[in-house]
Amino acid sequence: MQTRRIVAHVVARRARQTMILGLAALALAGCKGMLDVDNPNNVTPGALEEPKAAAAIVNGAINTGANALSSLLNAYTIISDETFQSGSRDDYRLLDTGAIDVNTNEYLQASYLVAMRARWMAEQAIAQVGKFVSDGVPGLDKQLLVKAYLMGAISYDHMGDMFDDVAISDRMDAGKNLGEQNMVQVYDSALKWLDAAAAIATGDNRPAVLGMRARVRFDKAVWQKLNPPGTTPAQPLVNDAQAVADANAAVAVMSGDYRFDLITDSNNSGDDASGGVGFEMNSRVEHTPDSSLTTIDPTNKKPVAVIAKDPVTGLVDAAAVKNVNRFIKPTDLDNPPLTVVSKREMYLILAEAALAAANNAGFDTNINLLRALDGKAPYAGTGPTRLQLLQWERKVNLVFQGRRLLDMYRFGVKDPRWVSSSVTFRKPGCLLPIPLIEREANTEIQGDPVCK
Amino acid sequence: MISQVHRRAALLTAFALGASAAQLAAQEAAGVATIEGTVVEQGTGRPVDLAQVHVVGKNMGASTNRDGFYRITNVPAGTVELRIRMVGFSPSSKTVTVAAGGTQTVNFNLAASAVQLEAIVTTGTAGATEVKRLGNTVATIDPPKYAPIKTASELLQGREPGVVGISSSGLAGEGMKIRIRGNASLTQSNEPIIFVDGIRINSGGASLNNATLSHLDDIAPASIERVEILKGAAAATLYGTEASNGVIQIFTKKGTAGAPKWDLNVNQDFSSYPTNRLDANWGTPVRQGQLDSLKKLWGRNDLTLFKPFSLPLLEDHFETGSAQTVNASVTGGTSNLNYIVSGLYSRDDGPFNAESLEGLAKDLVRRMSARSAVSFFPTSTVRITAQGAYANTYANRPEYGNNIYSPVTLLEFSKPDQGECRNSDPAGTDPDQGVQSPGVCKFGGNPTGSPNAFGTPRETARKLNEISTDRYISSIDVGYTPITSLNLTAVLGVDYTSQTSTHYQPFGYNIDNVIGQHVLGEKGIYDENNRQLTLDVKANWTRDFSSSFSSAFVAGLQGFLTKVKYPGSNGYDFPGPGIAVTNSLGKQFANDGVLETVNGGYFVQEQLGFKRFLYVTAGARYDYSSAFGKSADGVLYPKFSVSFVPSDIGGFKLAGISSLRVRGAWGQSGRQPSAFAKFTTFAAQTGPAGAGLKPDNLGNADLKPEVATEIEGGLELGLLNDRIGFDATYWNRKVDDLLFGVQYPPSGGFTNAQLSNVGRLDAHGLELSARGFVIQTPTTSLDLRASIAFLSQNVASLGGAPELKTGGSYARIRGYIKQGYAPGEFFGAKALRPCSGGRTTACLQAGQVPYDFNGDKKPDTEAEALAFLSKPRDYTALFNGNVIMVEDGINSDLGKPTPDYTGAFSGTLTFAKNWQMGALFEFKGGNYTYWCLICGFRNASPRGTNSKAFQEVNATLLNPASTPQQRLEASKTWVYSLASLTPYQGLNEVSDGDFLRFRELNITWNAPRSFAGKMGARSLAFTVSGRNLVLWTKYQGVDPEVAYVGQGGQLVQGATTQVDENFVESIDGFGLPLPRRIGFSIRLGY
Repeated sequence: MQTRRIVAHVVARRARQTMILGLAALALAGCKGMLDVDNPNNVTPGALEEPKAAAAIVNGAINTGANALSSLLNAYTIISDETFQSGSRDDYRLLDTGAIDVNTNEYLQASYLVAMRARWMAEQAIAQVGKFVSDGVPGLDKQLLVKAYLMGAISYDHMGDMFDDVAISDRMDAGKNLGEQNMVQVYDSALKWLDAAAAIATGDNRPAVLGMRARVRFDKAVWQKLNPPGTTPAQPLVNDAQAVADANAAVAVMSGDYRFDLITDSNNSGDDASGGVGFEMNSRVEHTPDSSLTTIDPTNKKPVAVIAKDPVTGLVDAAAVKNVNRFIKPTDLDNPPLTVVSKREMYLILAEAALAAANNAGFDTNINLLRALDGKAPYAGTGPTRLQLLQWERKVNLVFQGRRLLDMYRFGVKDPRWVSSSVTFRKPGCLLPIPLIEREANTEIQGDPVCK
Repeated sequence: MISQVHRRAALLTAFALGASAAQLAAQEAAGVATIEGTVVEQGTGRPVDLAQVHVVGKNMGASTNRDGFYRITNVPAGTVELRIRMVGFSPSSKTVTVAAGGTQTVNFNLAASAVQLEAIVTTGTAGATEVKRLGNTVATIDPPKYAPIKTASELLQGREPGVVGISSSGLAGEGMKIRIRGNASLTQSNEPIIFVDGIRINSGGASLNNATLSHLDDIAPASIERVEILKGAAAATLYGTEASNGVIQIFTKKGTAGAPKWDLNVNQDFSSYPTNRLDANWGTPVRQGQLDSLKKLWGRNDLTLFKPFSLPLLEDHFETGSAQTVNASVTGGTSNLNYIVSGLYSRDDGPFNAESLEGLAKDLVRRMSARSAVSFFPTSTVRITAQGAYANTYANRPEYGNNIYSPVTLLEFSKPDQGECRNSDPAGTDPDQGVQSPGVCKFGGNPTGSPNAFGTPRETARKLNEISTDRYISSIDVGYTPITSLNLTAVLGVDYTSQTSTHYQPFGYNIDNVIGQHVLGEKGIYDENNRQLTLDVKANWTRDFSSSFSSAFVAGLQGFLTKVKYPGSNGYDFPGPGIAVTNSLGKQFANDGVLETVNGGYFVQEQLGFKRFLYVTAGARYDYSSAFGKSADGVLYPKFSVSFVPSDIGGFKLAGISSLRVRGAWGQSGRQPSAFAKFTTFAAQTGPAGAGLKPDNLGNADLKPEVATEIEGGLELGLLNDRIGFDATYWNRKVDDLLFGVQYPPSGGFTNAQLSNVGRLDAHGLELSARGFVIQTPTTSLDLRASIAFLSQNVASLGGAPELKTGGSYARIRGYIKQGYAPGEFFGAKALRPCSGGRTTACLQAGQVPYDFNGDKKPDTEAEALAFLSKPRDYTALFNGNVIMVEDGINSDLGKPTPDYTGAFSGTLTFAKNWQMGALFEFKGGNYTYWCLICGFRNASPRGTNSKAFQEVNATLLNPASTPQQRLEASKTWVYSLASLTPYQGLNEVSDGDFLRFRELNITWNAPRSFAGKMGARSLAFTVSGRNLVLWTKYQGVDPEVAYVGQGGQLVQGATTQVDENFVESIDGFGLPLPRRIGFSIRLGY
């Protein structure tokens, strides 16, 4: 018995020692190495510093930019009289009634997030690809930098057109809000990049850059007419010499019915609160085009046929048919082309400048060049006034492009769906506020919105 | 026939006697003997089935059969100690001396015990240990034999205080979430980690378009022997990181030596929805032309203008569900090798009659599984157990849950006054207006009046969701006992899940020309291949230092390697009908992802015992995780516990008290962040421009696990020879370094919230349970149980981070994670109410109404309101920004979603010798449920507004015959009962979630042996059972247990947070109510 106890004791001691040594060896030798797991799903920041990544960076900026515009139009289009809420989502209803100052609106918050991501990505592309260019990376296509500049300008232009105020931050570093009175700066930033782009843009990029610069100069002028918000401007028309110069230069290089579109597909639309403007309008039918534009199927609230009539001829407007159908009946219902710049807009800029300068002939020339794109009969000064015709042509040629609300404000048009207590009804010029999600996360934001 | 049976029996007997004689001779020669006997219950004298009789110090034993009989062969001659342990009974042991070649009879009389201090548990203890030695709680659930349990989740529901099964809804097979002691994390999974026989398993869920399945339910409940539950950090320390929400370990049945024993259980269930809680679809004709059309559509000549009418449009698609379950098993073997093989087939066709909508979708779940376990004892010191299990699950479901394309949702929203068959009569010339029969169009149309382009119910029923899962769990468990005091074990196992989820809607499924979404068809195939490897190695060394002191030392290591791959393809626009493969789609997309995580750690524990009444345990685990990279330091989780058993002190005597234990435990465990949350990353942003990148995860180099520190203390008390037992546990938990999704300024480009260690989450609770064997006679016995668990949770600090809304930016979910409140607390609007009951501020003065019709931002007077309501008004006139809310706007506290208390009471009555009846009632209370994903539409949104209350209000407002006073009363009903949604988010949107539910009932007749024998069976039982039979609640929706989504429904592979998954317990999102289930089963043993 004594021997067994001794053996047992020795075995126990050896077993314990072996066990502890074994465990320690396993733990130290095996486990640590196994902790280095693979992550093929995404990349770390170092990957963006490789010149080979230049195209991916710029493509990222374009794809996020398209995603942002799709989301912004989702929130923005319904505010104007272009569409009305026909679906189930009650925050669209809030926008439809003109209550756009509610900073918790889910579509405001969602579109702001993707717009800010697109803004940051565009600036990252400008900085990173700009560095590659200045470093003289051999074989680098400089047109990538042009596209980066263009996306930066588009992003900033939309911020100015759609928001009353924004903050510019970088990763965790909170940035101050510009302030509602300083929002004009976003157009200046856009113009700075477009100037740089124009210097090196070639090929297809050139009309886009020149057209965008004309648009930004025009949009800046509109902003100046509507700010501070609260009144309809006595002189709503814009006549900006630099915009006119750029529009003329752009028309010269724009062939046919030129458009610069941003395109989405299922990969770069729908990562926000909605599926993107195409899905929401054409598939889910959360909003429906206004009955002044189309007939509407009473069963499913889908638009059936464009009925908007040309005020000159009294016939169904071919431009409305083309532009509305382009959006509501595209090949891919979920992803209509999102027009940013077009030759049509250049003619509108030129016509408006002429009208503002009381140059009726100039107005007629440009408005008829525009009408000729759709084979519409020329305007000869009869029928609608030139101001009425300008408004009409802007409505049907820039439809669903995020311009209508500002036109309604400056021309004194109210959406019949706006309730009288709403900020859109009471204060022309008011746009979307900084959403709560930014206000709560950004301690640098100061001041309360003017529009409330 | 009878004579044939008798002849066969005689032959078998003769053969058995011959064999027995030969066996005796062999035993004598080998120096071994046989021990046999019966085990009966003290008091009732009933045989105890499945009691394990064990020869102490040997790898030998046997379990009793239905007659309580056991037999152990090949017992070495000499003096041995026999010991019986069985959950529910006091342990018993006897010493017996056996002679070589002899057979010794040893009978046992087991006393049922309401206190289980001697029970053996293994989970979290690193070795088999008596409960009384542990300072922490290890709960054990012994599956009730006849209860109506179809899934492993149902087994966990209502059986242990603090362990809550959160039902999701009444669709067949819907997965249940499991919560233990509330929420130990805000952003990481709140599910306990689950082991099966030492192997960590994939316990997540499968979800497709909001219909969910729980992978836990792949485990056949009939294969479960018992379940052990560690409720929190104090008990789960040795599991380290990821164990702060507790650990559940399922022990499956093992083989028993002896001749093959077959068991067969055939079950037929019928299920139905409780329609008494469903509001029908209401509508009101308000125009003469509409009235005429509706009379034709519905065949209802009784309809009149401005008089609401109703139709049960959802209920029309209910049926009696039918489910069949067959379980079979065989076990047997020798003292050196035993086995068990079992199989399950079940098919559950639920009571939602999706087929009646002429679609593709069904409400169907089918499960098949097979399992085997072989235990091999090559020597007296080595034990090897190999197990393998295969499970196949197939589910066919409609679109479901918070989903506007679900036929359930569309039926709930349908407005019978908007019904028409316009597409069947496009020319408008058919005298029948396109109506074929009441409510049915000849061709297309929208007969139910479902809201605009979301589709008709029969269009959306053509959307099919299928989930198919193949699962293989395999393990090998080796034990080596070189000397009695040292036990070495190693467990290696793998759980592999291959799952394919398919969504399909055919070309041209828009048969009514209403739905607008991808009308040329759509298909998506999503795979998930999930592999989980477990390695667990430990050594357990026990010895007595002296007659007073004993020691149990354990050391070991554990590793879990998980790799998930989730490739898929999807798209839309088929070129034509009949084609249904993704590569034919006009728009095609592919997706892919890999998630790999490695967790590992080693642990030590020492337990010192003093004179078998005082035990002190100290231990620790040191953990590593791939979430922090290979260069990061590990994390230490310590534990300490004390258990004092005064009733085991010699001479203990206290009036009526038969057992008493006092215990306390302190321990830590953690939750690691998701795999790559620490790193700044850029994700792919593809699109028409080409392959690109976008900001993804902001990154946080200092990220570390959140650490839960829990202290618990309690006592067990046994009275009247343990016929009555009480158990009380108080616990307190603090989660420090709380992982919270801090939202940095979105304007910084990285818009996703970044996990950061901020703040603290506090919780405490009390768990009480009691059990009593009230009656114990040979013919009748009654066993009663009751339990209740109280829970209090508070977000103590968010470290200055902004509050976080659950449900993302989705406006309608009003839950928030906010400092100073319970996680998920509801906030929203409250309307001003009259000053009364002590309310003097933020209230209406006499003569005021809660409306501002004149736009002066103040409550109108009744006179002003009556003037406004002097003419017919549509309810939208009340809606448009006119309701006066209390000062907090939409930020008033509306209550919390997590119940203050949960509990159950149950009983088992055995009567007339062969009859047994069991019942279980479950309750929850002190919480509110957000139900306005439904009520908002049915009461307020223009797309629904089909509730009876709304229709009566609106009819009064619109009816020219109404008086202004009637309209004013209707407007008050509107604001105080119906108004909701933007801009009054939260108003009338939460409802008292308290309930009491008659969860389970079963009545069983155990056939006498003579009767079973006539069928050639050793046992036979018939059971009638019911589940979810009655619900008592003040809840306004259909069912307070319906949750937004089931287990895994909101999980996104690779996501850094699971906030939405964690806090949707009390959000009712269009789910069908839990069905009543009546079942009939036959159990046969051969």
